Amino acid sequence: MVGSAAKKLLDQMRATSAGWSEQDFSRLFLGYGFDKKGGGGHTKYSHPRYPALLITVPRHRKLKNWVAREAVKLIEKLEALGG
Amino acid sequence: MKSKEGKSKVVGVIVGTKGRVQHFGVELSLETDDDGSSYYLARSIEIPGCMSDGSSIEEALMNLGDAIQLCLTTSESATSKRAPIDKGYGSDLFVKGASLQLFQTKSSSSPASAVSGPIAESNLYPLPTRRGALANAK
Repeated sequence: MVGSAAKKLLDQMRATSAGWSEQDFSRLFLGYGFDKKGGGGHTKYSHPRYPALLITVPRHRKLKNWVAREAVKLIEKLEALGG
Repeated sequence: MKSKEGKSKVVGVIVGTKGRVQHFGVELSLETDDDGSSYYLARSIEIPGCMSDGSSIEEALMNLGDAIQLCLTTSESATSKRAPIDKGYGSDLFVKGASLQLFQTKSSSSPASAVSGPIAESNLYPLPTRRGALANAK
């Protein structure tokens, strides 16, 4: 069950890909049921039911816009799979 | 090494983890954010979703090497109970920048088939946060 906060965050990321923080992505992915694993300079989010659905988010600098773009694509894939 | 914005090239990195060395294809592209800042985006071909960025090609490849290592170690820990990590370079990570051969657009088919050939030893980059990888790998 996806929370309304995560859905709202996804809609906001669809609208603009700039200005998102590591904490925002953590809330988004955990809200959609992804697992979170940290190590080195990145955090990996992968879905327990669909392990191929994954993304690595850098945590060593200001995040670039590609992270939000890829996050939206990833969750759209999950939704298409019925997750 | 320069890349034209909007195009991507395929390179290779070698990642050593847990005593094994693996070659990964990388799709590398130059991106520009809304604020005008440019950076290189590096994506693993073999592990979709495993990606990172950097202000230079070398930095992007090193950061991607770190991300690949995370993907490898977490996927192995999920499927195997083998915990010990080998000593020596096996517990380190290093990335070899490739001698880049090809330029192609993202719409080109089968980027994996375009991974370039031998990688020069002179392009060996130890990760700054991990010591001894270069010395132990020789």
